[in-house]
Amino acid sequence: MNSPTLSELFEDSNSDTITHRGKIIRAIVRIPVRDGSLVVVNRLSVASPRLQAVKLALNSGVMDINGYRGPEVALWSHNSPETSEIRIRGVGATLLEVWNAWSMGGVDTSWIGNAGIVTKSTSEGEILQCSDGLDIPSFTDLVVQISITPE
Amino acid sequence: MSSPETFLAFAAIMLIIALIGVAIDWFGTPLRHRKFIPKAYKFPDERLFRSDVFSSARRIDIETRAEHLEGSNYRDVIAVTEPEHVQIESSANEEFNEAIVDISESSKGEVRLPAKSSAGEETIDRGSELMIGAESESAKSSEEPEFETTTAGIRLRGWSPGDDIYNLTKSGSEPTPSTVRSRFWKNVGVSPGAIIFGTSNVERLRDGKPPQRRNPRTSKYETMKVHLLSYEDGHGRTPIPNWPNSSVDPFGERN
Repeated sequence: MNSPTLSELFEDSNSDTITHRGKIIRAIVRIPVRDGSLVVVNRLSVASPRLQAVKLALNSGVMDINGYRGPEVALWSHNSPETSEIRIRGVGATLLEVWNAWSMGGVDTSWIGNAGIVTKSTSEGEILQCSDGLDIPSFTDLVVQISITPE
Repeated sequence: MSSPETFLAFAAIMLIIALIGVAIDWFGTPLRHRKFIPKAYKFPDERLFRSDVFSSARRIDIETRAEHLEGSNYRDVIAVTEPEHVQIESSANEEFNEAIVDISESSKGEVRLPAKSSAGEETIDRGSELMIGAESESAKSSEEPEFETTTAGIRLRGWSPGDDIYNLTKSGSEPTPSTVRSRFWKNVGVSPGAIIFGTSNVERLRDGKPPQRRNPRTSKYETMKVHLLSYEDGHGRTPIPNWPNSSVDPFGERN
């Protein structure tokens, strides 16, 4: 019998955070922001044959990035620059939610299989090591650093 | 040394090398910062599994198909909503697929021998069908759509998991939209990569229902959708499903 996947463990625990093999794994990462904050997303590495993405959404307000303004964006590994700057707009914006996605044969997919995120705090920001859902958990599939600069 | 002695010496050397390898694997890190891991696994104690659900290679095969059933009335676009009612196929002899040869005016002299399908396949690879005769191209009618020039007019009767979702029913009639949708999810359920959806979802898939996932943003369950076209409108291609998604790619094509 196969061992349960990370998403099944998330589901069983009814939580967004689990401890698995000594690692704290999150389904989604929440970072405090405020109106006018500058979010810099730096893609450090991609080690998966599949297209990977980091998705960002606000609890309230919108994000300005590359001429687009909206509440939820996806930065894909194949077409976005290594470093992207996002400006937070909205007085109600307090929380930035970040999670990873990948393309499964053209299907934009998140939160299934062995998908999960391991975070590391550094002086330059939060490093998110993301595992896509396919294969065994591998937190090198996508690694991004997110830093927040108040206005 | 005689030949048997040489062989035994060689076998003994190989056995020693193998035991050294096992010992290195057993005791873990033989070199600092370098852990022996079998090539097939990223971690020694976990099974590697791979998903071929929705693999692009398979889709390319599907896209080579351009078949059309003459006189088909199946034109309705299937609603995107989750299926509640799953129509069960005829139970008797479902594994038996009967080829229906429907030779149209434009395809006389052309015969295709369908490849035998097995239950483990997601779809029948009609790209591998053998075509005999080549008169159809010259005999095509100018009133017919272009894709009909490659039609063989052959569709199989009966369906079992792994077969083409657009197979006719056992009685030879067009499958209903709910049947096609149910077949689609059942095919996903029997594909080797279905385990990525989780055990409970595999059970749902095998019942002909779409998989669900828990959205940690909302703590609610979301259902995967598929937009199925009729056999004619979709040119017999297997559609690609999608999860509910509201994110926009600011560096890509924006909707």
